[in-house]
Amino acid sequence: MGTTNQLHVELHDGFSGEAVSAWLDGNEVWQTTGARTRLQIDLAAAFTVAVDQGRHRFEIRVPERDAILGLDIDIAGPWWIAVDLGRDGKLAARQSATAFRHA
Amino acid sequence: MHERDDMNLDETMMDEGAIDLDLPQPYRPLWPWNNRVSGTYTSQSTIILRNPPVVPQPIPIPIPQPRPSARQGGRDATMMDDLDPMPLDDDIVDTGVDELSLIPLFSSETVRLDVDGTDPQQVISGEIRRGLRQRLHWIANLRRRSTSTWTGRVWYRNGTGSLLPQTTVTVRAYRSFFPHQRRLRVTFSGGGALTRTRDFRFHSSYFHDVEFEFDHEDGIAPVTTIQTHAHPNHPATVPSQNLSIETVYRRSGFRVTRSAGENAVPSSLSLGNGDPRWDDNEMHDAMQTYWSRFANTAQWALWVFFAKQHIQGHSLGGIMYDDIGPNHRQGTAIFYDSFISDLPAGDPNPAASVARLKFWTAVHETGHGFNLAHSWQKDHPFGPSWIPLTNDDAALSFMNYPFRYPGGEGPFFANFEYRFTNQELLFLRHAPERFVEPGNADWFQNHGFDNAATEAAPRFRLHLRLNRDTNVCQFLEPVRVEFKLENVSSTAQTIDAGILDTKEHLTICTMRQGDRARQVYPLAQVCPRPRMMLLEPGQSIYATHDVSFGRDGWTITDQGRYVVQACLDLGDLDVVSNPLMLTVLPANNREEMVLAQDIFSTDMARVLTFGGSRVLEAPMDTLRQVADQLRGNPLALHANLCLGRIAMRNYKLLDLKDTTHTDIKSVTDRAVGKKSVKVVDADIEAARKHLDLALTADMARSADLLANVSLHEEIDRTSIWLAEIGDNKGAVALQDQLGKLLKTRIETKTVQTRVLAEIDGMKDALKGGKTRAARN
Repeated sequence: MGTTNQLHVELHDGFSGEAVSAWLDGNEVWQTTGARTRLQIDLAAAFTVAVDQGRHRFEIRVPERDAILGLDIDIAGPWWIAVDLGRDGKLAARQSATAFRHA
Repeated sequence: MHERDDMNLDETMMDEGAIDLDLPQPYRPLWPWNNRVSGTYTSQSTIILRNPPVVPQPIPIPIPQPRPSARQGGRDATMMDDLDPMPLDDDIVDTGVDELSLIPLFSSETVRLDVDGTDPQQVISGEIRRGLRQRLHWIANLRRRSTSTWTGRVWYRNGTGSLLPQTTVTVRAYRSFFPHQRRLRVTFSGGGALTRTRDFRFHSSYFHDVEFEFDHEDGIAPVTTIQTHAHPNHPATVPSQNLSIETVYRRSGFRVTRSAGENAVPSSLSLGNGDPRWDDNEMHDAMQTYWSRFANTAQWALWVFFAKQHIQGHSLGGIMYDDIGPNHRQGTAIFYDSFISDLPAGDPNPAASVARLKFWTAVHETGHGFNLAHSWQKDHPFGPSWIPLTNDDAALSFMNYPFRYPGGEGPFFANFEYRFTNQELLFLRHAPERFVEPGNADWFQNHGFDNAATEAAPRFRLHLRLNRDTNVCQFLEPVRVEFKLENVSSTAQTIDAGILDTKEHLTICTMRQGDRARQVYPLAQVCPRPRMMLLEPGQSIYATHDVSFGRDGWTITDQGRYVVQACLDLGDLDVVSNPLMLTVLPANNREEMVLAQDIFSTDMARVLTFGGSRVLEAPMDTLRQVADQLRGNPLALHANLCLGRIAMRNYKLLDLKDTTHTDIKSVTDRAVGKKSVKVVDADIEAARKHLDLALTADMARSADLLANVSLHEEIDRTSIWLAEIGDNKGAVALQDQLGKLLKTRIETKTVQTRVLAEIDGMKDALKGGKTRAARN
C-alpha cells in the first residue's frame, strides 16, 4: 500500500440543481442529485476522498448538461480541485495545493 | 481613471458638518468642504399660486374683501427666474408646466446628486412618487457645463415611465456654507414632452442612512478599524489613517451610525446540535435574539456578527447567511477561527496582514448585505442584475477575493484603495432603494436593478372639474366636483361602471395655499356590486363628489386658493387626476361670517353627506337659518335639498330615552318595545317647497352648483317621488325642464347626447306609471 492523501473537491460557480457525480479511476466516489451554488460564498458542494499517492484519472460528470471534465492528477500530498460549470455548459477546473477560501 | 477627491475630504460626507472623530485629520480644508453639493435633495411639493397671501378673516366682524387679483403683490413662476442665485426658502419649489400638479400626497421627488466628494460618479438619480403606487426611479449621467451646472441624459428608468417622459436633465446647484440653504434646480426636457423645472432642498450629504450593529461571540474581539499603513504593502495613493468599517460606507454614500445595543453572544448558542460551530439557522436565531433592531421587515440596518467558526469549517471566512425567510440580507457573519486568522508565512507584518483580511471580510460580507455580488459574478445567469454588468476578476474592490485576484493577495493589496468599484458605488448610491435596502429585495435579485419596467401609455384619464365657467366658489359653499374617467387608449377597456360613484376606490385630497394637503375621508363606506362594462375608446363615465368635507370635518373653509386632486385605484394601476384649482371668495356679509362657526362642524358634514337628519337637530336648525337668511348663498341650495329630502317621506326614529340600554338586544326586543321606534310623518308641502327652491327655481344655477350629473340624479329622485305621491304630471314636467336645460349644454359639450335619451326614457317610464324606472 502506498501513502494515502486527501483529495478535496469543491463545486463552485454555475450549479443550479444539477445531478453531479465524481469518478476516480473509473469508480464513482461521490454523487449528489442537486448541486446549487450559494452565490454569497461561491460554493455549491464539497467532498473529500482518500487517494493513494501517484497518478490518477479524475472525472466530474453533469449528465443533464452533457458535461464531463476529465483530469489527470498526480497526487503527492493534499490536493484541492475547484470545478465551475460555465454558462455554456462546459466544466472548468482549478487545482491547488492549498485550500480554496470563501467569504 | 475615476475622479477622486482628496481622501482627507472623505469624512466630510457626514451630515451637516459633523466630524468623524475616529480619523486623525491634521488639516481639513474648509472651503471645498463647504462648497460640496453632492447628496440627497427633496422637493416639498408646494404649489405655486399666483394670488397674494391670504389674510385670515376675523370673526364675526365683517370686512369687505377685494377679489384677489392675478398678480397683485404675489410672486409667480416668472419671478423664479429673478431669484438667482438661490431660490427663496418659503413657498416656491416648483416651476414650469407641471407647476399645478403637485399635491404632496400625490407627488414627491427626491434626487441624489453625485458630482463631488469621494469617488463621485458624475450621476444624478431620482425617485418620483405619484399617487398611491406610481413610482419611477431614474438615473442620468452628468457632464459639467459650468461650476455649478451639469447636464445629461436619462439612461435608466424603473417603474412608471410616464412620470418622466423627458430625456434630458439639467442640474443647477445653489451652493451655501449652510446646508439648509443649499438648493438644486433640476430641469427636465426633451423626449417630445414639455419642459419641467423643479427645485429641491438639501436633505443630506449622504444617499442613505444605515445603522450597523456589531455583535460578537464570547471570546472574539472584532476588528472594525485598521491602520492603512500598518502593513508595508499598500498603494502609495492611500493615506495613512485609521480606517473604520463605518468610514468605508460613509465614503460609499451612507450616513452610518453604530447601534448602542451591541452585545456579546454566548458560544453555547451554537451548541444546539452538539457542534460548537455555527450553522446558518443558528445565526439567524441569534440575530433575532441579540440584534436590538431585529424586525421582520426591510430596514436600513444590518447585523454584523463576529463569531468563531461556521459549520463549513476553516475555509469559510464569512458569510451573508441571511437568505432565509421573507427578509433576506439582514445579517452577516465573520469567522475568526478560519483562514482569515492564518498568519501568512514570510509576511513582513503578519499581524497587520491578518487584521487587514479580517477588516476586508467584514466590509465584504456587509457589502453582500447591500446586495452586492462578487466581482466575478456580476453578469450571472442565476440572478438578474439591475443594469448589464460585467464580470471583473481583477477588480480592486471589497467584493473581489484578494486570493482570487490575478497574482494573489500581494498584488491585490498593493493596489487596493479600500473602496468599491464605480459600478458598485453606482448601485449603492443610485439603485432603487428596495434593491439595496437590507431585508428588501431577495439576495441576488436585482443585485447591482432589473430591467426597466416602464409602463405602457396610460389607459385612462381622470379629470376633475367644476360645472361653471370659472372655478370660483362662494364662502360656505360645499364644493361639489365632477369626476370624469375617460378611456384614452385605443382599445375598449373593461371597468366597473360604478367605480366613480363611491369613494371606495378614490383618494381625494385638498390643499389650501400655504397649508398642508388633507385627505377627504368618506363618511360612509359602501361595497356596491361591480357592474362591469366595456368603456370604448374616447368614452367616459362620470360621478360627482363633495370635496369640502369628510369624516374629519371640513377641508375647504376659509377664503383662498385651493387645489383638489384625486387618485383612482383601478387595482393594477392608479389614475391620478388633474389638479383642480379653485378659489373660495370671502364672506359676503356678517350673517355668513356668524353662521360659518356652526357650519364648519363635523355634524354639519354628516347632515350634508346623508341628505339631512331628524336626529342631529343643531345642524338642521343651522340649515333652516341658511335657507332663510342666506338665500343667495349656494349653501342655501344644499340646505333646501336636505330639508326637502327629510320631509319627503315618513321618517323612522329610534328613541331609547326611556329604555335601559344595556338590556337591548335589538330594536325588536321586547325590552325596547314598539314605542321606541317612532315615525315622523312626511310633510309633502314642505318637501315640495324646499325641493323647488333647490332644484327648479333656477335650474341652470342648480346645475352649476351641483354639477350636471348630480342635478340629473336629484331630479330623477324627485321625479320618482312625485310619481309615487301621484303627481305624474309634475314628475314629467320636472324631466322636461331638465331635458331643456341639458340640451343647451350639449352645445357647450358639458353634456353628452345620450343623456337626453336617458331623460326621454325616464319620462316614458313616468308616464307609464313605472316609478321605479332607472336611468341606464
